[in-house]
Order: sequence, then C-alpha cells, then structure tokens
Amino acid sequence: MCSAKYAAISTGAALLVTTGPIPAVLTSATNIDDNKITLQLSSLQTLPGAIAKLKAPTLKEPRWLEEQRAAKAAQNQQSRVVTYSVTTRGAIIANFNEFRSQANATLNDQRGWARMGIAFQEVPSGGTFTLVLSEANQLPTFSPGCAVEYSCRAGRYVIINQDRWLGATPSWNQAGGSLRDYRHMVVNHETGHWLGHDHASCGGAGQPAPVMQQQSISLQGCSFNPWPLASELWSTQLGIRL
Amino acid sequence: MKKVIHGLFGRIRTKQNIIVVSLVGVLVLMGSYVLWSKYNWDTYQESYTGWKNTVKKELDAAMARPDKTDKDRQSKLKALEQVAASIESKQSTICNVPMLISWQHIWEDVKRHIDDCQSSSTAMADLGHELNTITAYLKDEASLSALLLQLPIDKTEIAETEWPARAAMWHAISAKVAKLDGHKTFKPVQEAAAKALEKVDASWQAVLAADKAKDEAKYQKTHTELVQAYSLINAIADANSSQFNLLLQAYEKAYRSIY
Repeated sequence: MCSAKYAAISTGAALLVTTGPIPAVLTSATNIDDNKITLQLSSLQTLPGAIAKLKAPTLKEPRWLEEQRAAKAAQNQQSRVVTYSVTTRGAIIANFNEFRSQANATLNDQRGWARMGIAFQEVPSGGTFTLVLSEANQLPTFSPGCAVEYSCRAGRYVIINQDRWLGATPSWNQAGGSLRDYRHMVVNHETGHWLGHDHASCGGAGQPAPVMQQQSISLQGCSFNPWPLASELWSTQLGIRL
Repeated sequence: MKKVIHGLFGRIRTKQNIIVVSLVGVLVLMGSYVLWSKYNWDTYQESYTGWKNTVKKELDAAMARPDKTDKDRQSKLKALEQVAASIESKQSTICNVPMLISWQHIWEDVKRHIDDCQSSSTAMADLGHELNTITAYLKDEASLSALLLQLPIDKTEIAETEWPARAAMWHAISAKVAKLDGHKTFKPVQEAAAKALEKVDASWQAVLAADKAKDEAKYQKTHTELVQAYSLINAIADANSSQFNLLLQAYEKAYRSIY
C-alpha cells in the first residue's frame, strides 16, 4: 500500500517535471492570410466562368417578319410623310448645310425610323416638328430640363447640341464609335422623343442598345447602337403601333 | 544450543534477504513504471502536436497545387479530399491513452494534456468536416459547370433555322440540371440554376411557337421574354457566390481555431 502510494507520487512528480507547459505550437496562431485561403479555394470554382459565357442571343429577324414589315411599310409609305423644318439658335460654327443633309439622310435611312413606313420631308418653315442645331449654352433656353452637355427635345423642337454634333461624347469616342454613327444616334434619339418615346434601358448584356437608351451616359452592358431596334418601331405621335 | 541459536539467526537473515530483495524488486518495478509513463506521455504530446504540423504541411502542399486547367483542378480537389480523409481517420484515435497510465489524469497537468489533445482533435475534426464540405461543393459546382458549358455560346445573330436546335439544347440541359443531386450546401445554387434554365427553356419554346404562328406581336413579346429569361442566369452566380462565401468563412474559422 505504502509502495503503491510512493509509486503514484513519484510518477506524478516525474510527469510534472517532464510534461511542462503546453508547447507554443499548440497555442499560437500561425500567421496565414485570409485572402490567401480565399484565393486558393476560389480558384477551384468553375461556375463563374461557365455562367459568364451565357449571354442572351441576338435573334435574326425571321423572314416572314421582314416580309410582313416590308409589306406594311410599303402600305404606309404611300400615305405617311412627316414634314419638318430646320433652324439654328446661338452662334453656329458647324457646317449648317451638312447638318441638314446628314440629318435628313439619317431620318430617311432604312435602318432608322423610316422603317415604320414614313418619309421625313424638310420644308422651309413650319412642319410637324422643328429640328434645331443649337449652340450648347443655348440649350437651357428651350426648357429648364435641357442641359448644356447634351441634346434635347422640348415640345416640337428636336434640338441637337452643336458641341455633341461636332465632337460626340468622350465615352462614345473612347469606345471607338465614329462621329457619323454618333450623329445618326443623336438625331434618331431626339426624334424618337418627338415620336413619343421615353428613355429605354439595355435589354441584356451584349445586346445592341435601344436607340432610346441614354448611350452617351451609360451603356449598361449593351453595345452602342445608332438605330432604333425592331421593338422600338412605334410612335404615339403618329399613331403607329408595333 | 549453539545450533539452535545459529539456525534462528540463519532464518532471520533469510527473511531479511527476502525483504531486501522484495523491496529492491518493488523499487525497480516502480522506477520502470515511472519511466514508461514518462515515455508514454512524451509520445502522447509529440503525437498530437506532430499530427497538427503534418496536417498543416499536407494542407499547404495541396493548396499550393496548380489549378489552371480542369485536370489540375481535379487533382487539387483530390489532394484536399485526401487531407480531409486523413484527418478523419486519425482524429478518432489520436487522443487514446494506454489503460495502464490512463488513471494518471487525476493530476492536473496530465489532465490538461488530455484536454488539450481532445480539444485539438475536435478542432481538427471540424477542419476536416469543413474541408470535406467545401470539396463536395466544388465537385458539385464542376458538375453543373460541365453541363452549362455544353450550352451554345452565340456571338453573332442566330438565324431562324437554328432556333429549334438551340431550344432543344436548352431543354436537354435544363432536364439534366433539374436531376442533379448535390451536397446540401449546393442545393440553393442548383435550384437557382434549375429555375433559370427552365425559364430559358420555356421562353425558347414560346419563341418557336410564335415563330411557327408567324404572329408578330407574340414574337416580339416572346423575344423580349427570352432576353429577360437569360438575365435570370445571374441568379445562379449570386446564389453561388453567397453559398461559397459561407463555406469559405466556415473553413477559415475552423482553420484559424487551430493555426
């Protein structure tokens, strides 16, 4: 009994000496960067890459729809002419004749609003709307809603900002868009307002932007597009429905 | 008389010898037991600290593997699974103590060793569990990705004649995604994927029907709906990002509790 007690005591004493404090390796935190763990595991993810490739497709208009449209356009062409006059406001340095001819070409281009079966005809005065080439700082004189930075539509006035006409916008230029395409876009966009359109949003990443989207401000993932989409070919002003 | 006295002393001497020999024997046994105990506790301590260091080395090596190609990723995942499996198999026995010295836990320092080992073992089990969960999730993710990558990627306009093939492909993949049976942590992603693909599939069918009917209004409507349906695919990315972040956080927490 006495021996057993001695053994127990001596064993305990020996253990106290031999075990000592808990080694540092158990208690101290090894310094490992959280971002490193995240990166090492995130790099094994495959889904983000697979999802990124899935974009909404662009469907080519079916032949029957093109035929229906052409027939409708031919029908409308005979009866629908939209007249407009052209004027300027403020100090104009752009070539006014070029403005008139390019705007007319845009309005009657078969990629544009003319696809609704309408012809735009310039008249010396009056007309159903007035196309204005305006000095930038004159824009607010048309409406408090018109800013010196952009083009605008106020009532019957479709106003093209001279600065934009001459130099497009930085985002357009940075994306490599041509000045002619910008001019198509701005004339179509502001005329679109006169036709009864509000602003539109991008329909999906990679899609062409609706012409009524504020492409000079943000593309929202769409690509630049100067022409109205098929879905935009309507006008409350002219009573044309899709 | 002399003989009697001599015999008596002789017996006394023999008894003394026996006692001395017995005492020496007991002391030798006790000493051996003390040394053996010391050896066992030293080994015990080294065993679990060593194990933790080994796991860290294995984990670091697995994490440092390349992951540029699918093959690399699969092999890295396999290496991580092996680390998780090795943690699992070792964890249940690492704190076992030989029966002959187990009673020594009555001493505070010994008890502390055992408690440390057990809490370390529990933390390691958590790490193994989180690692298993994350690898299971990544395997499910790879299965879903493989299906999604079979879907056509169109960079140009698609002609009317190609629409039925597109629709059929979406229909087939949608059915396969709906049947995927993944880890419970992957379920929200799988459900988001099944829902998005089902919607795109249905939208394609609607476009085909409108096209067949040559109905312009219906066609425009279904075309718009098709584009909108594709935008639902973003919900898969959202669900994936949120689920995976939860797993990463759990893993990091388990890792940090040990290292």
